[in-house]
Amino acid sequence: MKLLVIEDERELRETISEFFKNIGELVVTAKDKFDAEDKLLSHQFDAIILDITLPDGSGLDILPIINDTQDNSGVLILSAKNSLDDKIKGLDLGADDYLTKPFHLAELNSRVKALIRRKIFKGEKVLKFHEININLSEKQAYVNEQLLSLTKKEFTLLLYLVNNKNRVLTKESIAEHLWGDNIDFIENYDFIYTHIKNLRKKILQLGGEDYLKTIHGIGYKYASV
Amino acid sequence: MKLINKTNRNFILVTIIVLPIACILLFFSLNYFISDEVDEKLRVDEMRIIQQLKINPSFISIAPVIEVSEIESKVEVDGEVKNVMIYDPIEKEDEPFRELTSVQEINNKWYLIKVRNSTIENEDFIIAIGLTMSIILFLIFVLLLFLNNRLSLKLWKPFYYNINKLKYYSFKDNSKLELLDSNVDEFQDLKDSLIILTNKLQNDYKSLKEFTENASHEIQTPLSIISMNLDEVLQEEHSQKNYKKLYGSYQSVQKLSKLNEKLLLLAKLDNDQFTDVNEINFNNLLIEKIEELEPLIEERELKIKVKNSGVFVFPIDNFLAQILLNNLLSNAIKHSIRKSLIEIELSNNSFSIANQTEFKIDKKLIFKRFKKGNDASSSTGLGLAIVNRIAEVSNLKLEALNNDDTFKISVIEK
Repeated sequence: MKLLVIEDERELRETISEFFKNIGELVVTAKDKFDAEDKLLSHQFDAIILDITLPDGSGLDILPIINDTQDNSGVLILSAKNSLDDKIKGLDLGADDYLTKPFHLAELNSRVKALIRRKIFKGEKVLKFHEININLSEKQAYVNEQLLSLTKKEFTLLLYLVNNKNRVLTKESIAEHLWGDNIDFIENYDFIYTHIKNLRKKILQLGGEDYLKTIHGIGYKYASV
Repeated sequence: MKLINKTNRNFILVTIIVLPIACILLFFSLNYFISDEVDEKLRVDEMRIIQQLKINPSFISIAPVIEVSEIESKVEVDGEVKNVMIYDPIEKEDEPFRELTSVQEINNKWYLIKVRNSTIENEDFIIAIGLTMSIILFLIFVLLLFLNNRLSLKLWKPFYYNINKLKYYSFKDNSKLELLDSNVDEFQDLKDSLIILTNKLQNDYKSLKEFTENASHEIQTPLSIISMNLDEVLQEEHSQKNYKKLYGSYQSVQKLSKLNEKLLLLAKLDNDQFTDVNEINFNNLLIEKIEELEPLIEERELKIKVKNSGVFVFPIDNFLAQILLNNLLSNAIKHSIRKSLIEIELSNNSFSIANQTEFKIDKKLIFKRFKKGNDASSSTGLGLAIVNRIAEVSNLKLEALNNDDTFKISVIEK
């Protein structure tokens, strides 16, 4: 998977690109509009992460260039402004998703992956993690070919864990992914435990392996044993 | 008390004191001058009688005005004018007179001459003059009062108009303050100063608002960087001690970014950036939100009872309606006693959320920014401040009730 990260903040750009490189993706970065145009003209990308505020113009102005140069790439807009106008405009101009700063890298990863699945695999995708199969078009998960009956939240949780496998996911990031960031969790994330527990129990019941590790009380990690 | 009433009151008070004094003074001065005149006339009359007696000794008396009588010898009289009561045969009663008595030797005969002048007529005269003057003074007083009031009202009109304008002026609506000119220098000065002051304040207010929004935006990027880097560092193995510190920092950054988001929301509310107004059915939205908050409700083992006494549909920005309910419900959940009941009631023009709580909150402070139910809580203290602002911009009225162990917030259509 080939990614283009257009972000003017060096630190942010490097962290994002580092993160995707670490999970084995190919990452190209651009620090401004000019740079981005250059890279867009010479490469094809699967996904583009686009910051709206760039030193030499709005990221929204890059959207038409993306349409002209890229055959089939998903665009995710990053914005410091949680502005509905920007969001609507961006989505109108051909962006596929919108994420407000600050965000969790795991959240960005999930969004980018969903984007690519929608765009490139047209949603026809089965995500595999050992004996667990997640069918994204059916929105069903299977353990050892047996249907895992999950609630909507549990399914989203499993997908998030598998998408971000081998990564420590903080309770905050899981809560935000499952319930959105408009909810005031009052710094009490213990309720996630119930969902984790139920998911774990259901997988174990179907003879699945327990890949879910609790990490130092800060969160969870889905990793091969 | 209005200035005009105050000046009127003083004017009337002064007049009430001065007018009678003026009348009394007038009466006495008139009295004095007239008796002086009378006394002089009596002396002149006396002189005339003496003249007459010299020519014609048989002078007829005209009682009670002139009485001339021949006497044997000289009698001692003081020759002064004095007040006497004399029986008037025509009027048939005792009447007050001024009387001049003198003894004169004319052609070797002694005469006792008494000249009198009725003072009753003088008194009538004085009363008439006094009364007329009083009436004139009173009329002047009334006229002055009337004119003064009319004039004041006219002069003060721009003042009252401007005061009224100021009363309803808000920096929030971006209109300039427009005040009436006055041809009174003082009022014009006041008007000019007010215009300068409000323009300055409005600019300050505007830049402050912009500052909040810009600052919040600028803070987002560094926060993202800190949060992401911490997230990355947390992926690695550390000593338990460092893990704790790292996670503590991570949590603080999360909290900071939440706080920042809320400040940004408040700034946007102040800048009226929410205009996506739709008819929102709060009955449905509440159910939706309660479902969303289920994990928090379960965690605190709370029960929620929704009583639909009506359907509350209200035009409000969709996003704001969500935030409004989120904050109200989160607040109710947060401050509820474990295993207690949250009661929600909807009517056709309002809804209320009541929860059991241990905290006593000052009603006036509930909606203030950074006021927390208990200082130890990890909340930002902005939840209800945001609710308050949303209500303000959406034409909703909030009512808070805090008695015994129940805290109830009602949201009512204005």
